[in-house]
Amino acid sequence: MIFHLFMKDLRKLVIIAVVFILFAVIMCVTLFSEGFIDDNSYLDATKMILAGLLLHMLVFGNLMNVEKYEEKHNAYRMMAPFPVSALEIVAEKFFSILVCTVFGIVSILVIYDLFGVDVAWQGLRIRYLVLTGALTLSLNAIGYLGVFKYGFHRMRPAIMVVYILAMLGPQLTVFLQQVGERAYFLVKIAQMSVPGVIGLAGASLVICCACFFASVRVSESREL
Amino acid sequence: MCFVHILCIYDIYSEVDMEPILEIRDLKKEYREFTLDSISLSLDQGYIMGLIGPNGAGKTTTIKLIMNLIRAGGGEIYVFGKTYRHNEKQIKNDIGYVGEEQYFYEDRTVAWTGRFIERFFTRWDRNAFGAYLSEFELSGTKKIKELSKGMRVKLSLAIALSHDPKLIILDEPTAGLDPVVRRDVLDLLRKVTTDNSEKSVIISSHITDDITRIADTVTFLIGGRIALSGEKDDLLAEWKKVHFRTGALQNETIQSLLSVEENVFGSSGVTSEYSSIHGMLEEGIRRDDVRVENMGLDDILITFVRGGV
Repeated sequence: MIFHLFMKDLRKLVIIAVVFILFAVIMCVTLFSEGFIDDNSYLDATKMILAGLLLHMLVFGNLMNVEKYEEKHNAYRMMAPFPVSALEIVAEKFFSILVCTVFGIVSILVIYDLFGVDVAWQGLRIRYLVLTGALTLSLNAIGYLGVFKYGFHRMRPAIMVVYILAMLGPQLTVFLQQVGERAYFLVKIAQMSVPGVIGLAGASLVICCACFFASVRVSESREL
Repeated sequence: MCFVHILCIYDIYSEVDMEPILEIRDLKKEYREFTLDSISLSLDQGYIMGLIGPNGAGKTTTIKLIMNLIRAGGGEIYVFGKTYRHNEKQIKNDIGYVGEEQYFYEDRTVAWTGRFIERFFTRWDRNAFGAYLSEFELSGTKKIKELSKGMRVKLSLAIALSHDPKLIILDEPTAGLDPVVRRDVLDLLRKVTTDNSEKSVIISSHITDDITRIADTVTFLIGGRIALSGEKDDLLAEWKKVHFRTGALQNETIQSLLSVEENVFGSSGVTSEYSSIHGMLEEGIRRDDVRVENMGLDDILITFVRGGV
């Protein structure tokens, strides 16, 4: 049932995924060209930071796109009289953000490796993308809890604010003049121990699970 | 004792001890400006129940509670002998529902909608769905947003009937439909229940003609309470309007009448127990001092709403 519901949302995901891949390729190609002209370390920091931005864009964009569509067509009201449980509906949404995140990470790894391999990127990529993925996963899970509790229309401004903040955090460093300053938070990530990364990713999974069960509870008690 | 005998005994036992398809006990729901107050009703297998009431009487609230779309403030609902707790999917698999509003993905086609919904039900019959679409002249390639109100109701009905439901619940399905479509919808419902005596139906409407046409039992909901409930034929047989000239009836008989008012004939009132006062009216009927007029369900509803009861 979860997969059946997911197939319905897949059309929306495919559209945003194509845009995402296009952006990633264009970004890689243009930054790679500049890299030969300018400094190679400049390339690393900017590219990596923008990879995080793209990942956020994909997962948040999918949530916004799908929920706008569901709300427009009163999808939850439509499904309420059918034998589909709140657990299945919520599970499908959480499954879709998980798929989006994994797809985003894998795509970035492949595209970046294809278009701009360098030593700094290879050393950091998994760590950085896992942490960014964990952040986007938790934020989207919290976003979905809000959507199930208050409806998408009321939650949209809050989701937008969180989305912008999540993107602007590390991404702001792109505009700093010094390469060292731009790469500062990347260096911190590079210095993080493996258990530290796993711990943070685990914490985000705990947040996800908590949001999932809270969303199921909220959906079950929701009046349509 | 052979196996067939055991089955026969089981069948007889089942019939004698048959549970109602739907049982509601002391159902309550409070809103700021409306309260559904201690509703109790029961529907047996194979029956069509009409829920009649003016707008805002609580018909939709009752149906939404039966469908578990909203949460009750108190009371119990048993559908097929089960509560929704832990059995929601199982119960809804056996219910065909047509709501007041029909919600679909507007940009999708009728055929896609059928394919999307069929996975929810364990007994979905693709052929039956196709047959209903043909019967209603609904094209599978048409987008939902291109369908008229009547067509949307027909599509909802096709969906509600295509998974062989034991209970069909319809909330004002004919509201806003033209008379031809209304008749089509009601005829189909009648046909479905006649062809299969195991199916039960609850239909709410403020169009009493619809209920008169198809219902076996009728429940009047007024101001969030059940004002009257019973078999339709019994109600129509017992509820009569009595016109009488002054002095034609004894005071005791007049006092038993409801909403007595003066008119051109003399006076008139309503009785809900015609069979018990029939004897007292016979003499007057013979002298043409008393005339008895049949009442429709709408007349009974109006008698309630205007506070005559």
